[in-house]
Amino acid sequence: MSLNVNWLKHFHLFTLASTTRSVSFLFALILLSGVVACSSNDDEPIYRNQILAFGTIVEVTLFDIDETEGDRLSKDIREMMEEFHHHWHAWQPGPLTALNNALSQTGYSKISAEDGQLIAQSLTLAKTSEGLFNPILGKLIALWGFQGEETPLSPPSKQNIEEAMTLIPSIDKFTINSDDKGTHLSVASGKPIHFDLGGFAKGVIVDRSIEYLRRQGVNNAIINAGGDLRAIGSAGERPWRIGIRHPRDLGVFASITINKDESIFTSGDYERYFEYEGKRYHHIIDPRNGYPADSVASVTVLHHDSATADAAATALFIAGTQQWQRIAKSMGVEHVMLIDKENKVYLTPELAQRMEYEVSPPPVVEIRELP
Amino acid sequence: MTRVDLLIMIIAVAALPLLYLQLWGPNYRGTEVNIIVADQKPQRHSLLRDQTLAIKGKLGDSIITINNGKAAFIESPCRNKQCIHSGWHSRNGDTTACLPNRITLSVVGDGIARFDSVTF
Repeated sequence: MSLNVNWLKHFHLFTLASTTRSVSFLFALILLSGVVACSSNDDEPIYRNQILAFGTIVEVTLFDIDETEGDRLSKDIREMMEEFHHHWHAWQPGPLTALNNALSQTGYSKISAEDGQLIAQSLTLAKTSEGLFNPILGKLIALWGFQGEETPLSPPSKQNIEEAMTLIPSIDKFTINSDDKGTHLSVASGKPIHFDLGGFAKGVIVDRSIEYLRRQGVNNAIINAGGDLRAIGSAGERPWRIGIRHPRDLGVFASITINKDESIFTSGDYERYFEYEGKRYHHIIDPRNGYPADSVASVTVLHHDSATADAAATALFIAGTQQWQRIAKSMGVEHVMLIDKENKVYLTPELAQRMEYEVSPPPVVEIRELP
Repeated sequence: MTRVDLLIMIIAVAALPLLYLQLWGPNYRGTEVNIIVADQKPQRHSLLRDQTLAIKGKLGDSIITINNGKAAFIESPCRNKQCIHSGWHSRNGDTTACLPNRITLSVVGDGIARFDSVTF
């Protein structure tokens, strides 16, 4: 049975205020309370599992899949994610660190066609984001200490940040060519190269997990990797319902229902941070100045593919309230919500139509068209 | 207002507390806590039984306490203690983790969760 609890909750509040005015509403309320009672006692055939993979908690939600099959699919997804994590890990010895070493030493490396495609995609997103999503910030991220599982204790010195900034190569210096001998990645910068696909790789592996599920015949699922997700299909007769975390509270700020196949990625200043001498330093570093971006509290992007949503959430967080529209347009992203530090909401008309706020009173909202 | 209207109104007002409980009451409360250590079978513990658990993770033992229907990390060998700072968890769907120690804690219940998933 279809059930939208959130809608019923609001209906309930409205009806309380109207009790003495409308017997019809009361009658409807009684009917609806019966609907709620029936529905909430129905066990929906939803398989839920949490796995530790890709350095985070991955939530696997599948509709109408039994436990044995769900466990098998979860295990396969976990193995796929761990393999991908190792392959693209920017800090532990593996294929990406070998690539970084080769590019730093000789400015050239032969790579697989698949790797070339993924790096090319990351460089394209870097260009369309005007460099706000930047996959070669490895040295700067390492300087801040956000590359490990433990958050750092203090910020780096101003001098060290300025020095690291001079070592970031330009995106335009990279070229990828394919011929009958293979795929070739070269860079003409003379600077040390440190690819770190952290702001993009999670999106790629979420996409691949969904592709895997589809190949296995699963068409109703959610893969949520550390708070970033892609949902396909529905939960039977009702759509998947997704909460968007409050950036300054443990609760949910807003919610949205999924339309068949969509990714929702959020970047927030609460995800990884430390406080030093009374000031908060979070993990989203602005490539333009080397410091944590300081304009908004969170950005949520809804897009059909996770890889773009992932890069766009990072880029638009850095772009902030003044520049996000231009960058969103350039990246081809239409559904965007920014929440600033005072909980004011900026969002596109496309997303405004679908957003339901879960906070009371509702936030101040400013709808902005993309250019 | 007819007698029928009055009767309907009385029944409806009487039904409101039930509806409140249905929407915000026990259905959103968790009944069990699901603890997962990487590469191990998940373990479930009732939220109705107060106890303290020592869960061995990658770095050492994380101490999880269940008290009065709520669960929390109270000690952990990680550096930043974010798992401890996340506080108590009691609602169906609440999740926290000590990633350095590879342990997750999530609350599950019989009722429906408000959301199928949460982005953060």
